[in-house]
Amino acid sequence: MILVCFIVPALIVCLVILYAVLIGRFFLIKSKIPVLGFKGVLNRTAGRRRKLAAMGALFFIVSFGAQVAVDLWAPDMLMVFNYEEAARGQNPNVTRFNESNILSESILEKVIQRGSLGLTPEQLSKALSISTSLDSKKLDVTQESDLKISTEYKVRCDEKVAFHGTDPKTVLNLLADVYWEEFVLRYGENDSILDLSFDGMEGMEYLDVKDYLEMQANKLRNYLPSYSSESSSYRAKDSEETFSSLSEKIGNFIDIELERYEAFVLENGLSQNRDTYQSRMQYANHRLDTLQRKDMAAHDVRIEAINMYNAYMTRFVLIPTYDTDKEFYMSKTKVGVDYFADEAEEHLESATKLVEEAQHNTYASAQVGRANPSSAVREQADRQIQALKAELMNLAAQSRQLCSDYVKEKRDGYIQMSFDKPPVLFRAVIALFMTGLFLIAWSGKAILEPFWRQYRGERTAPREKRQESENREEAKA
Amino acid sequence: MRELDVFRYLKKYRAVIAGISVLAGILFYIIARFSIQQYTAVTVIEYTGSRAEEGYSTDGKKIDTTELYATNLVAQALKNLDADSGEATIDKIRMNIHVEPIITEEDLLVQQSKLDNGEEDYELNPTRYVVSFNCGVGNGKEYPRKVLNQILQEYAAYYGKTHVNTSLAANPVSDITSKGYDYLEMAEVMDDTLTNITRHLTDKIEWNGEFRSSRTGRSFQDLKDEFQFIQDVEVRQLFSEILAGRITKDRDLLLEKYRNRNNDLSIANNAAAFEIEKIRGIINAYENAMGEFSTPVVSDDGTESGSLLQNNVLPDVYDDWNRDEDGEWTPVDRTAQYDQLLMKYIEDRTFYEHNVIDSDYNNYIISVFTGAPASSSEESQNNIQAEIARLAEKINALQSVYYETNDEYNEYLGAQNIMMLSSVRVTERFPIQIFTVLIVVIFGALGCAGAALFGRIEDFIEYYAFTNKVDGLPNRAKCDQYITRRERRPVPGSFACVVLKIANLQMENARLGREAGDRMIKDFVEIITSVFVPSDKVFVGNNGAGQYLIFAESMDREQVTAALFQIGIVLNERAQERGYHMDVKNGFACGEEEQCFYIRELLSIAMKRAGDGHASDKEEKTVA
Repeated sequence: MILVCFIVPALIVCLVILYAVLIGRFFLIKSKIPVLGFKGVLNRTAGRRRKLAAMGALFFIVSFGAQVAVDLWAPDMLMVFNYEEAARGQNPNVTRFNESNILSESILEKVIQRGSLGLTPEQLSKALSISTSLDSKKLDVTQESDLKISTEYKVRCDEKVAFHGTDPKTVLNLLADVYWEEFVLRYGENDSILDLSFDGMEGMEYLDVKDYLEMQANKLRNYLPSYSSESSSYRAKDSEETFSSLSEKIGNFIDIELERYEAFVLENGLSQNRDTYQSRMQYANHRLDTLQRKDMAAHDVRIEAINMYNAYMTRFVLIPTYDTDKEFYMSKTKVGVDYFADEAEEHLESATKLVEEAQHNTYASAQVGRANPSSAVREQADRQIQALKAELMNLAAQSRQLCSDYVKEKRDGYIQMSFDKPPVLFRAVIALFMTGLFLIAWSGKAILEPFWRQYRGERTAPREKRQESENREEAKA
Repeated sequence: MRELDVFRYLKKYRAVIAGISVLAGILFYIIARFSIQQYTAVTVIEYTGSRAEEGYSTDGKKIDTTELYATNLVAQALKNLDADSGEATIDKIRMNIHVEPIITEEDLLVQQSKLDNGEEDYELNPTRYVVSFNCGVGNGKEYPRKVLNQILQEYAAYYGKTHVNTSLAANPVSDITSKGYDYLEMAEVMDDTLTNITRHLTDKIEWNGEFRSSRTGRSFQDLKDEFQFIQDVEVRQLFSEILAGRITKDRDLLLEKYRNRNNDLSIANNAAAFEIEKIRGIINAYENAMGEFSTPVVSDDGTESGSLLQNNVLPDVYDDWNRDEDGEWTPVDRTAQYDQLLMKYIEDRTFYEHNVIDSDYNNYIISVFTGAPASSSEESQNNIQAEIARLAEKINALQSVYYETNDEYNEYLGAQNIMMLSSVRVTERFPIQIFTVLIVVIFGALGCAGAALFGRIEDFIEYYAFTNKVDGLPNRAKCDQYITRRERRPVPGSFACVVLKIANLQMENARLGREAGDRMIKDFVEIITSVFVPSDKVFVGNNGAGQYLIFAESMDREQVTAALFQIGIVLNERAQERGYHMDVKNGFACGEEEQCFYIRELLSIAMKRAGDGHASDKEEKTVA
């Protein structure tokens, strides 16, 4: 097929040579052409018109066919980036889009590897080129309308790749596949967080299992809101599930199922290793107590400062403003004590949480220390854990299905790739033009042929005769 | 000498002029296309940070566009492109990157208006910039696009990292097991590291909680939860194991360290207590002074309403920014001095109380390890060492994910703060085709001028070296040159050679005088050149021996005979007019007729015939 690519250039070279010969002959014999009797000269082609028409038709068919064949064999590939952020020059993950990555070395290496191509990345890089419709337009920065981001890129593969045992279309197909995979991997929605792993739960304390599963459930829930805010009305076709309904389910899993499991564990004082667990709780409470005391100290110091604040220094002015309900409200200018009070409140809040956590730890530790659970209870707890895991896996699967459906609909595969169809009409016009040139040249050659022969005869006669006389002289001698 | 006729020269040298012009055009095109031409990749970026319109980055630093082509960024870009140093050096690329602000007429009008209104400090801060990169054509059209794209990519990430998302928690856990720390200290380092990381992550969640990395699939919330879980469960478990088992490498060293910590805390608290006391004194003095300095407020009835604080209006209340001695603008701090004193008091008091609590914690550790063996058993040490190594590995792995997520976050922030307004366009810098046409035209014009000059010089040479001054015909040297040029190749059959000779010139000179003889020659030459008009195909010359040579490239015998006949008639008429007698002898030879195709042979035949006094057919013209 590569040879077909050379047909049109070869025809062009032939035309150039033909015209060079024709012009050369014309200048050599122009004195012999009768200007007034040119009409009669034209009539000399009358007998050859049929042959000329046949040659013209053949020329047209060959040039047109070769062009279309090359277009079909080595078409340009159009990559259309059809996600929302593409028009802003960004990837789907809102990082900067770089079209040069399409032909980056890592991509080309993968293309070569996947297609087992006999090229080096450098050779392939030279054979591929990328262009946009904006390339041909000079950028006028003063025109706002001229500032555009292209979302379509035309990738062309040189026919010379055929010398390496492949063809342009195959290379472009491989490139499209590899780039799409790489693009989705690097910039597309990544739902690997939904691949829940429970490996870390091996030998874990029963109460820690609850925290671990809660963490995993929160991962699922955190993954959904970003979609929820974008399309709250989206519904899965099969399950009629929405993002908010799924988020609610995960919330219920945390608030109801995990809480029930925790209650069961605490009620039965379950632990893998009682001493270790109690020791840990003891240490944790020590740490919490330290932190709580620090918070309370900070709180007390601020209260002390507020009490110290001199009344003279607390002059304030009431200013009219709006409250959160957009009603008129007389507020006042802030002074130092306001900030101290805020800080004291924050420290108190933190200390309260720490106290609560410490009390929970104390309770859990006491429960674990008091009880001596039977193996049946442990089995029941294990069964509950398995059920919780299964439920979480189910929720993860639903989340994945819903998200992938949504991404499919919203992003439409991120990139659409297609091959250009041959511009038949344009090719036909070119072929016709070339055929016209060919016919003109050939007709001109036919017209000049008799004069050329005459000229040749005159040029060669002296030499022949001289040769004859020399021969004669030699014979005489 | 021949008259000056420019068109004659142009006509003569037209082929050479056209050839040289076209050749120059082709040569220029080839050189320009492969050596001079450059590709220009160009795009437009816009800084969109919250303070970009004031000329500042998000971190409050002045936007510096030179960062875009900083050495480190260009080097990083080249490294990522895998470009070898042969293709381009860093400096070469930097020299060819240009960043120009886009200032519209509207901007200039606004600036002028502001300046006219007396805002002398007004600075025009463009947010849009044209970024371009020029390079040769040697590496192809894709190269400039790749380089500019990669540099912008690096810059976006750098901008996000340096000017927006500047904080990233350190990871001292990475090599913790290789250091000589005691186990408790290792656990403390881990705990502190995790506390630090979760604090950083909490900040990032507050800034952009919705960000999720495409590469790791994690959000900052996911990472925070995972770090938090490790800290709450596994690190606490580690602490409890160390404390419950009283596991130490060197008990005495550990105890000494904690006692020393308590000493440091005690010293720090002594200093803090001193400062607290003094601040209390300042506060009291300040309160008293403020009360005394207050101006009494006079009520409407003219009585003083009391010593109320009057100077509570802050200075510079209308100014948002102050300029320091370095010329940098800083926000005005409106915190009252009294509040600042109390803040310092709170800070010191809190520090004091926290030290007391930390001291209690240290005492707890000391109490735990006081009764411990000097060094724990090897087994327990190995177990705890393995546990620490496992935990450190886990934290490191998660930290790597965090760093990768953060890298993408930097790119995200870069793209958010530096928007692309246009795709990178690659165009040819110089319009080579237009230049080529210009070169052809210029060379054509120069060729015409050169042809006129050269033609004229040739005329001069022709006149002084190759022209007979009496009759104005080419002289013997020219005749020899003409013959020599053609003697090696055969002439066409239509080639004719004519020799004419004025046989009675000397006699007429003697009879009528030299002037009349010259007149005869001029008349003779005028007549023969009017019949055999010199051109590309007809040569008329004087060989210096009184013979006139005529070489015609396409003349047959009849044409020559007719021409000679015509010459004879005209000469006759002219002689009668002038009153002289002219005896002209001629001889001619045609190639086809003589079957002779070499110029010298033809010439000798013609000369012989002219010498014999008759032509090829024994013709002889005597004109009276």
